[in-house]
Amino acid sequence: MASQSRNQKVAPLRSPCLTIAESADDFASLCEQVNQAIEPAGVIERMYAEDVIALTWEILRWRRSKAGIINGAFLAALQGLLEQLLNRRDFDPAFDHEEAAEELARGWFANQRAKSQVATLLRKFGLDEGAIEAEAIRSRAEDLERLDRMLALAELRRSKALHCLADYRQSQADRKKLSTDQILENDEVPRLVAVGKRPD
Amino acid sequence: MASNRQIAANRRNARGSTGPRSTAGKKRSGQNAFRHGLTTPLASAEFARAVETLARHIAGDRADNIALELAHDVAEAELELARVRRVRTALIERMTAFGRFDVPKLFQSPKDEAAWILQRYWGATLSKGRPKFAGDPLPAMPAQEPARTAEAVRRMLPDLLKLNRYESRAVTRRDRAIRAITLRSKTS
Repeated sequence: MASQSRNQKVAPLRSPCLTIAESADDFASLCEQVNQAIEPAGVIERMYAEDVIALTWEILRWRRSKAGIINGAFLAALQGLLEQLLNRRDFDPAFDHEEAAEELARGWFANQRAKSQVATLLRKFGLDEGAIEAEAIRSRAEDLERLDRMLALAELRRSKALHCLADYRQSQADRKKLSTDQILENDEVPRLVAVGKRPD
Repeated sequence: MASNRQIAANRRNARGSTGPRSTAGKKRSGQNAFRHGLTTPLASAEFARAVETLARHIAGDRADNIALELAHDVAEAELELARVRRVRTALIERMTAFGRFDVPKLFQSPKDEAAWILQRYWGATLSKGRPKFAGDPLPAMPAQEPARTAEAVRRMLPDLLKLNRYESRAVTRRDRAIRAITLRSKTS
């Protein structure tokens, strides 16, 4: 098996799987970091190193998506919460109440006045802005649970790839040791002859 | 044991459920097991060449047939794994671009479509009135990144979980073959 020079840049076995929105530079930097840490030698070690890279990238992708899913649910969560906090009886006709909640929720993202108005309303019921995040997470609980499952799987596979790499390296080391042991066993050790008892 | 009456009833019932009879029905049921096409092994000459090249690279100076066969298994599983990852990225990109995999229906029902065609090309109207257009039940995709990709991922989570299974299978196959290679080199 051809061994890889430690200082050389490792050429990838497979082409990187990036989406249009993902940065090729970030991926290249991840590859460099992982290859520096693992220092793969030979094609099988490179396979495991690339697995670690792909899975680390995947974990980052799912983490970003998780944050994005929660952020994406914020507006609807805040609107729902405000509909609960604003008193329906204060509005005439009643559906103005929903409109006011929507307007205030949109305003929360854009201006400070709406933000402090929401904070006051929340405080009135003993709540804070954490209640908005909690509602956003609650509303996307099913998706987040699936995403967590994928994250857990990717983390498990990454650990497994590292474990397999360690096993493979150990077996290679054992093989080398065995072959050197055999050389030593086969070699005839020169016998020392005691001084003064020279054979005739 | 089933009585003669039961056997006769079973046969009668079976005759009534022997699958689709129309060409369209047969075509549709033929696609029942198809999801991503990832269970089908790639049979192209290009894939075979790639497997061969990688297998030789893995086998290195081991020239015996068993070592080559094992290296072949590793290469095939490794390329399958790369394929699953490519498919996943392509699906995420498609979902990010369109927000869905299917084409949304334009009309609520085939009758509405027929009514629209009659009205548009012959100026005739059906008694049921104006044709009803189908509204899109999915909300619009966010315009900006990273919210757009996050929404795409959210919409295709069931598909992503299915792809995970294919990925696991390829990884298991590859690792098993690698273990066999190392075990063989230990004993030989």
